[in-house]
Amino acid sequence: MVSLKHVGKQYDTGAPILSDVSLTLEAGGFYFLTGASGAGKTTLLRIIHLGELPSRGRLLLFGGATAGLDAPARAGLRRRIGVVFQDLRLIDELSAADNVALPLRIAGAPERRIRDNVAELLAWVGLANRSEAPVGTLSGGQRQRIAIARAIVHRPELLIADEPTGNVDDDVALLLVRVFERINRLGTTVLIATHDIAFAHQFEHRRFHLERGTLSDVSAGSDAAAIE
Amino acid sequence: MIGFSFAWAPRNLPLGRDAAWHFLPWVVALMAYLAALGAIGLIVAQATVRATDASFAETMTLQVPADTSNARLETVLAVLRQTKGIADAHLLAPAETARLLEPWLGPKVPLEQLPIPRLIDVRIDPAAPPDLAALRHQLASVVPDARLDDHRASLGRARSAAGRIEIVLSAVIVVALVLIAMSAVYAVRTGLSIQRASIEVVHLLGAPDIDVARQIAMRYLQLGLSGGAIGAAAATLTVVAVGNPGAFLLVPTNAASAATGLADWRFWAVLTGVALTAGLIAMASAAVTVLRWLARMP
Repeated sequence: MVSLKHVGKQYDTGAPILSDVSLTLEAGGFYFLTGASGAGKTTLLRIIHLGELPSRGRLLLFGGATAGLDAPARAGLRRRIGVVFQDLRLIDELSAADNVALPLRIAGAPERRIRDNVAELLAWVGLANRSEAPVGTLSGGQRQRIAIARAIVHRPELLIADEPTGNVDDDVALLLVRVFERINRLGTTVLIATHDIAFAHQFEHRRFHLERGTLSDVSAGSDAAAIE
Repeated sequence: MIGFSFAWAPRNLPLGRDAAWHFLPWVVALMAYLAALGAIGLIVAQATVRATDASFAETMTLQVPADTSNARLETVLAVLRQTKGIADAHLLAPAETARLLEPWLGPKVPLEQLPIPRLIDVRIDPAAPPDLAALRHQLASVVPDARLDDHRASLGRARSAAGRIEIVLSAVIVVALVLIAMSAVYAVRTGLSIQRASIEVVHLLGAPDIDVARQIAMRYLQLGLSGGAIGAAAATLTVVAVGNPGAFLLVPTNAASAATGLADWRFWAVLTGVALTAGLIAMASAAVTVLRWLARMP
């Protein structure tokens, strides 16, 4: 599904953010990526999502190399990925439903399917009654849930979420992880980045830890094959 | 799976909410107005030259010295009427000549006391014009000082003046169209800086650059067309107010009204063409600007 081989990232002459990261995510897996703020989690996710180019190393997505792809091909890969951005990146002028519908509209889905999927997803995240509200009027936690609904509304093959539980209380965070597990059971590979190591430990999923640009597998009974 | 649909385009990006959307149609309207007047002027100039050409091609004027005897005048007329290619020759009466000279000399000048040449208006067959060299030679044998004017000098001056006017009007049109493109690029850049976050989201969610550019370009097509339509309407009002487009060029009324009037299809073609061109230029400028901007994103 995702394979990073000796990936490094450095901006100009600054310190390297990622040193030599190799990682394989199997199709259908559920993974946590932990690490303190500034450890490089967001950069790693951006590289996987093609929002950033690695300074060195290789990224393979869905079995194919990503280096040298043209813009339409990169856009095509992005449409197969659902993303929850750390800063959410909702469009405040649009309603909650229209924000959630964006990936489907970009994919040219029929309006009826869009309506059905959006209504279903808003119900999943407990915001069915706020569908027409402009997202600029929603609370931080509600916005977070809208961002999550948008990331999974098109049933992506890969879901990457950057601190998706950062703005919600523990109960809602647990609910959101259950939503991710639900989408995972439908076949989506899930990678969740969080600084909250204790929170990630609550679940029986594979965990990788990023520290000073280096990745390690910290899962209980870790499978060394995941990190080369 | 991936396709562009007009149905979702306006809802996808929150477009139409920055100041550029308000000023662009008016800037385009002003430029379209100038371009439309320039284009109408071009048509009038070209039609006037054509009409003048046709008019001069069918007539000549023969000047005979004032002291020429009536017998010689009759001989000259006979020569003209017998010449192949000449349809008619008409000796202007002194009163007719006086009317022609009145604008230059005024009504109170006693023309009968002046050595005013006699004028013969000659109409020729444009399909088989006479041999002018032979005709001049023949006329000289009757009246040595007779002067046959085939209007080439006047026509040359008119053509030259019209050519200079056409260059100026063409420059006005080109400048107006370039300014439409520059205004659209400026408006798009302003809009992109304001909507950067929204467009980045759509880009990161996998929208093809061409779809994003097309959506924005279609909106600029609307803006350009509405601006072009406003400019064209203003040009129409100007033409109606002026009454005769030919007045711009100080050309004879009959030639100008034949060239461009509200009943002339070319007038409407120009206005439609200017409005469409304004829309297409705005659309193309927007598309190129957005695509170049998106190409810099990862």
